[in-house]
Amino acid sequence: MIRLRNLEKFYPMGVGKYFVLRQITMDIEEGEFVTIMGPSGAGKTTLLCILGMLDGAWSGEYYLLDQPVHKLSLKQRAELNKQYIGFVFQQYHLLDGLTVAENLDIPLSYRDIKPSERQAIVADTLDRFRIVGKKDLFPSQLSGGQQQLVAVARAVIANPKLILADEPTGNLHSSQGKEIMELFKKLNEEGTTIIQVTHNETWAAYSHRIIKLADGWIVKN
Amino acid sequence: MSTLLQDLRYGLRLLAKNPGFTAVVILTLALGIGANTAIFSVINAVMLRMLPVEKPEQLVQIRFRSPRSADARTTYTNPLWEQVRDHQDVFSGVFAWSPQEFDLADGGEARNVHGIYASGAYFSTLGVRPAIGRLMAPEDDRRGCGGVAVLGYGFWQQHYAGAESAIGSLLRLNGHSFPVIGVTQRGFFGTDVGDQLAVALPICAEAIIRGKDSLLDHRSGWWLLMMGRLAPGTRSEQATAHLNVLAPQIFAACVPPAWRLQDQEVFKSYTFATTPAATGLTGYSGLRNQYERPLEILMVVVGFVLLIVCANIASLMMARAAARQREFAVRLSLGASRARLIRQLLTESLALSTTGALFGILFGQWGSALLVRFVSTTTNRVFLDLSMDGRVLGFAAAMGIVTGLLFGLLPAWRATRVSLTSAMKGGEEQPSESRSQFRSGRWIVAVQVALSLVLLVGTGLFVRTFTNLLTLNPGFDRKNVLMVSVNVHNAGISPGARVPFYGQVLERLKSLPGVVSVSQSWLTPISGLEWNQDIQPQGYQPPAGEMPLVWFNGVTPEYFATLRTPLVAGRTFDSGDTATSPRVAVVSETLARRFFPNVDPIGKYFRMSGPDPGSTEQLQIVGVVKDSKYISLREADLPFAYVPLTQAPFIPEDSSFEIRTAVNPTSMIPSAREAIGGANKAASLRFVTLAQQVDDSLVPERLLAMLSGFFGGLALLLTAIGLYGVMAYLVTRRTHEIGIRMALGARQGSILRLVLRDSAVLLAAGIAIGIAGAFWITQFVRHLLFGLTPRDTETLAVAVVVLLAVGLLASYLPARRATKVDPMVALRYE
Repeated sequence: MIRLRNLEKFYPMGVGKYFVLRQITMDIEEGEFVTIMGPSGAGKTTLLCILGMLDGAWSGEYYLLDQPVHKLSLKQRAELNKQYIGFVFQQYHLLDGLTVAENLDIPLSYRDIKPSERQAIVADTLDRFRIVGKKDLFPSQLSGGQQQLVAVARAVIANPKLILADEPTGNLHSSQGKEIMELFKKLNEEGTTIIQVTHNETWAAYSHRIIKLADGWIVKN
Repeated sequence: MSTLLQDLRYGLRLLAKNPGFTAVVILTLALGIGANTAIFSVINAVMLRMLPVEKPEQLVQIRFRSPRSADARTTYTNPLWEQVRDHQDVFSGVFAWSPQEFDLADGGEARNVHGIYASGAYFSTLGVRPAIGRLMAPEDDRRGCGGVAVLGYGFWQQHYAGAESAIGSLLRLNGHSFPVIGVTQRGFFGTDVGDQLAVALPICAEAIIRGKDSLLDHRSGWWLLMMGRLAPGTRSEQATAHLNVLAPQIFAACVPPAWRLQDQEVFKSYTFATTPAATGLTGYSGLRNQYERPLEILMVVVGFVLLIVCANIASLMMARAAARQREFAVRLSLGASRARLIRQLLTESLALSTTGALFGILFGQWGSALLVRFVSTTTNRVFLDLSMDGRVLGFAAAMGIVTGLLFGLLPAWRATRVSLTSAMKGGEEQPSESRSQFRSGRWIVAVQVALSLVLLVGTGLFVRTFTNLLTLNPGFDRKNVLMVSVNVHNAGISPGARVPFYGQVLERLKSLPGVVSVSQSWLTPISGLEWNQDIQPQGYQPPAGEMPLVWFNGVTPEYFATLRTPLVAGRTFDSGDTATSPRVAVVSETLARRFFPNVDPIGKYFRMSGPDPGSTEQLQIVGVVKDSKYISLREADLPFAYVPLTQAPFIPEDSSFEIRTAVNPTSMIPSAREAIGGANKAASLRFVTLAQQVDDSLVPERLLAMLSGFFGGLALLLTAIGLYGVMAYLVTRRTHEIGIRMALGARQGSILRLVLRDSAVLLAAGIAIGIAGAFWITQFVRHLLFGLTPRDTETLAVAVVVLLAVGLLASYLPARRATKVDPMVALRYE
């Protein structure tokens, strides 16, 4: 599903360069559950941003579902993101002014889906994640675990092939974290490819494979 | 559409969550849009709105033009009107009318109402229908008629409480009774934009009111206006061509016999012209002539204020958008396009601006009514139909949309240039983004400063123009002078009895306690009335093409003392200047200088036309007085001659008395009324103080000075708030940096300078742009200024100093707060 070849990312620093990612070469197959680990500053989140096409300034080759992302324009990359990728953030990043149902509706509204169809998809998703009773609540009225549950629901609502999760359990206590990881496991079993960043070995154990980064290099794959 | 509604719903919810921000934005927008709508409403009523009649676009003014002049004239004699009425065949209808003031009182203090003499086809050609009764018909306007009266709807409501019994009742006007036959439809105010028709009499009734002085057969009495309705399919040019076929015959039949032969020949070659009459812009409106330019200037002024309002709101929106960076980043990462986010932000801006526009319409209604009250004077009550129409609503709606885009677009554009990695990394704002947004905020404030400076310079110019006029020495002392205009038409005093009657009034007024002196004159200063004619000064050969035109007034000997117009040489009039003694005149310094240069004018003569057609009489100059203003305070000193009333060619039915008092002049009105009433109760009186009369002539100047002053102050306040906001934001953003500086030993003074230097740069940039802008824009108001030029350095310097002072004060407060930063707290801040 994902092929990276000699991917590099740097920031200019004086006359030189400060590398964040160095010669990243790896493959991730469709249906895999991969964990990226490493100390702070290793380049984990940067790699996730590049995979999610949130960051466009890098060199090397990146193929997503055989499409050469490195050759695509920013607009085409944004389309690819919309079509295949869902995000889960450590801080949940639900929109405060919107209810749970409206937060779920947001990705659909950006994909030009008809309102009636959107309503049905949101209703299904609320039911699937067992949060129907919370659909009219605002994020501030939910616990952290519930917020992350809604965030995961929002990430999968547009039916992405790939979920990128940046420390999804980082702000949760263990039982809530377990609940989210079980959810990821289930989604993965249903066919969604998942790439997560975590520091937690227990949550990393849910994945099929662990890639370790240090100072921008892959030190273990 | 559904996503648009979703954006709107979300936007409204956000605005409701920030009621303070929302209220401030809506209120300032409402004020800005309201001010614009108010001025536009008045412009609409004065210049753009169609006359309240049937198919107004078919109406044309009928003017005539002399081959000697490019300007077309609008007033006709009655013989000319009758010729056009009886011979034209190009209009489906044609009518004439003359605006008048009719006196409702039977003697004593006048109660004037605005009326017209109208030809019989006036209402039918306009397509006006009666509310009750019937309107005037051609049969009502026949020579020798008994006269009928048609009431305006407003007058009927006000004076008859809308009672149907008004029909058939007798209405007393100028001491004569006219049966009321009908009331015009509601909403019809007449054909003169700015006036409200109270009563219409047929033209033939002029002979009843003016008696022997009637102008019906007078070929030099220019008092009627003319309008025609184009027949369907006829163009204005065709109508003009048709009229000009008739022109030689019409003008030849109405040649003024008193004119010189060569002028009579020119008169016969006059031609007609027609222009659209549907709106005040091209139709008849004294108000338009007086206020067109001031209203255009005020429109620009309030436009500037609205731009400053937009700039302030844009700054607020930028700060608000900066706080929403995380939200935008998340939305983008969830698949939103930048265009979609901009649309969402613009939806919020437009929700705010349209709400502001709705309140602005309300403010605009109040403001325009206030404006009309402001331009009304004691002698001229202005009426304008300010009801909301599609044009005003469209204007307010356009303002709402344009302002929404103006203050929304830049913040939306800036705010959506967000780094998506920040969303993944916790949503913290990147320093480079914040700097770029801040640069935009500074740029906006610099523009505000520039706009404010232009407004302040304009304010300064108009205020100084007004004060220059107020403090100008007009050649008379306007303080403590009560004037009363006495009309004896209804008092049954024959021309032969007028002199003794006026003499009696003079004596009675003189004997009143509190009176210093009393005089009588034909005209009073700055009254809007004038009497001028060519003279032939002794020994003066006018250059080719120059007419030695002189302005006159007939006065009693006390006039100069009463108005305190100083005598420069010779003498003023005395009891020796009688009807039988040699004709004498007192002249102004300008007259003496122009026609008698380098010689003593005392004892010199000039000739002027006499009372009989073609006759002249010789006057000897016996005195020279200081120049004084005659028609307007702005005029250059005119060559001015006074003649004694005892030697005046005729005794008019109305005359003015000037009463200099030792007390408040208005307190003398009851005793003066009683004194004149003692001589004759039926004489009609109109009181006004000289100060008030001069003051009324300055309404456009006062309007510009006051409103530009108000809006200039508002602009200054808004700019100060904008500057304060940006500097406060800057200080908050730099708290950490300031903390480090202070920890490293920076003193309070250096921190203060650090912050103030930033605002000084902004102010300097804004002021530089503002000076260039003011230099360019003030050239367009040159002719409205008095006693100073558009590039008046004193005004510019004061405006710059005021703006600098206010700007630095607005920056000082945040700067002072910066000096109070506790390094320990600041370093923990981030």
